[in-house]
Amino acid sequence: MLYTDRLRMLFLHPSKSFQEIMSRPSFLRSSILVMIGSAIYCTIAEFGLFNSINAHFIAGYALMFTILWFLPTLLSMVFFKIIGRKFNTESYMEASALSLFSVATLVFIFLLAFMIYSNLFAEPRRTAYFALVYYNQWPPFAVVGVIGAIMIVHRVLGIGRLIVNAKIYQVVIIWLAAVAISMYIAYLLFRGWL
Amino acid sequence: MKLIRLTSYVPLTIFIIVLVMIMWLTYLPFPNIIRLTDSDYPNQDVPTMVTPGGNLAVSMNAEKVWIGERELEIEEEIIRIPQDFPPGWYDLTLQLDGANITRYDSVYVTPTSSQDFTFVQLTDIHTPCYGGQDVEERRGVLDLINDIGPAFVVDTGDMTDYGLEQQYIWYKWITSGLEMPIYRIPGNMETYSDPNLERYAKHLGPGNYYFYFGETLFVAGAALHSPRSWGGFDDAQIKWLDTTLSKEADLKFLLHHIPIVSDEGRDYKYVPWGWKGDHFSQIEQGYEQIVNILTREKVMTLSGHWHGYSHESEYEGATFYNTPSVTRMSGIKEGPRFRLFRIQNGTITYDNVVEYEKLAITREYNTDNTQVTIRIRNEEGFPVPLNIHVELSPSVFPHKTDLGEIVASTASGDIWVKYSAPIGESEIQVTPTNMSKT
Repeated sequence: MLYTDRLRMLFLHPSKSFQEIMSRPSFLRSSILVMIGSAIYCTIAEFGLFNSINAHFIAGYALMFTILWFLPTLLSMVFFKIIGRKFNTESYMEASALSLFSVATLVFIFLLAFMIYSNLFAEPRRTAYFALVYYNQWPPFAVVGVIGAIMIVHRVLGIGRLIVNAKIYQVVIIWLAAVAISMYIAYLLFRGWL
Repeated sequence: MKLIRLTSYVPLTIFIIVLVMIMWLTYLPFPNIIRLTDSDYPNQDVPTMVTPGGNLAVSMNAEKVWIGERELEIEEEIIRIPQDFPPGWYDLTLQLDGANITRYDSVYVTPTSSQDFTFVQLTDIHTPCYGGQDVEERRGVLDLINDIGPAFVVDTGDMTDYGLEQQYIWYKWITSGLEMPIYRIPGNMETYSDPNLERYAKHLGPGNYYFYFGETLFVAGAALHSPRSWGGFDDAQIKWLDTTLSKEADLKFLLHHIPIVSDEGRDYKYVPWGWKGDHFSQIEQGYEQIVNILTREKVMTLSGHWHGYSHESEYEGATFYNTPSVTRMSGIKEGPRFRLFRIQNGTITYDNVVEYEKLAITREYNTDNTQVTIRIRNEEGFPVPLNIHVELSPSVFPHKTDLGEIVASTASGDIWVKYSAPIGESEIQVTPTNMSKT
């Protein structure tokens, strides 16, 4: 399997992708892919949301996005180690990073379509932030968010089962704890700083 | 088995460091908020208000002075405005060292008494960059405020949605129908594309200044961290506010965008450093100093920033008003809102948040424009004090009104009717005294 197929397979058949990652892990490559992707996504989103570019916010959003995928991945990995699971950490980190990134990509594609529509074709034309936060156009995003959350749960359970070989309740508890901590830290960055 | 291949984590670590560095390098703790000097007041951005027969103070040794075309006496930096001066906007021309300097539209002769007046605080208009119905609705809100007829309007920031050039152009169009002065301060959104507030200063002037209306002092004290939604005061600003808020006045107001003291914290409430004992503050630097000044001087602070949030907090003798936004908000059924105050002899006797969609004022003039019917629909749930301006044809007869009272009139036919609109519908007839009610 080509390296690039790992991401494609995540959409079609996640367990195949996880098996490929387990046999040839490369967190280095995958993390670079995620970093480049998040920089591009955040820059485009900043422009589509506000019709302006602000380096402070782009960096802030990219940092928040990184906190949201890297921190729960790292924390859950540590928690699994604490409870005595033995697994390849690089595979775990890569599978988790790519899983969350693939869902973020889907959400971004939807956001991109919305930003193009809202800025150029909607009547009245609105920047995407303006439409979402002030004019109640968020329900489609709630639907996409729910779909994304289901995809994340599906992939997290797959990683727990295939890579960590943990019980489902262990995966659920550990990921809930890891996500809660990470979300609070992201919240502190978003509300406490930005 | 090796626990972690550390080299795999190097690019990610560098990435995080670079992001933090970008945030650090693009952070401006204090934008350049221009402070108006006494010698530059009044001007077009910060006009002065004066009642006919009142005094206008000018902090300059002018040899001669003109209000509009009319030359007036100046004595010890005080200009006495004649009683017959019609309400409206005037240029102020000063002769300094033989040269004339004109400050256009810098004097507003108000039809309102400075001992009994209303004013509106609006906030968070968030003018968008595209035109269309969103901009037109905001113009409608300002037109309603104009119909209510406050002595003046204060805008406590976030007048644009990102501080963009086109947003300032739309904002100025939105507010252009106001007959009375509007005093403004920048909010955090103005710093988002303009971290040092250069564009704000170009369009709207200074962000720190003060003015009196009668014995009531208003201090515009914008204090921001750029480009963040948290605010702060630097030492120079604290010193200026300390001096300015110590000036003598019956009542003192501070205009400020970001809440300084609040019982709640909206969605910021889980940020631990926002809690200062039993209350929340979104002020970082200078918090203790500003609260000391505000409580010592018993200041009324007007802020916005939290959009759907409408609240009034008391703290050690100071009062903190948080006013909801003119912009709509997702998930909130109320439309655009603003706060209306009435001040009588140095005391706040009325303050209510007015909903744009629950109040309507229309005027119907007869064909020769000699009389007018004013119709008011008030669904606010409380009476609304109005000072309605009507423009009739010049008449040799004085006018009368069947409801309220005429508080000012001019030979050119401008009339101001003071009336407290009760809940429900009401109708006022303004007619010349030689005509019977139609």
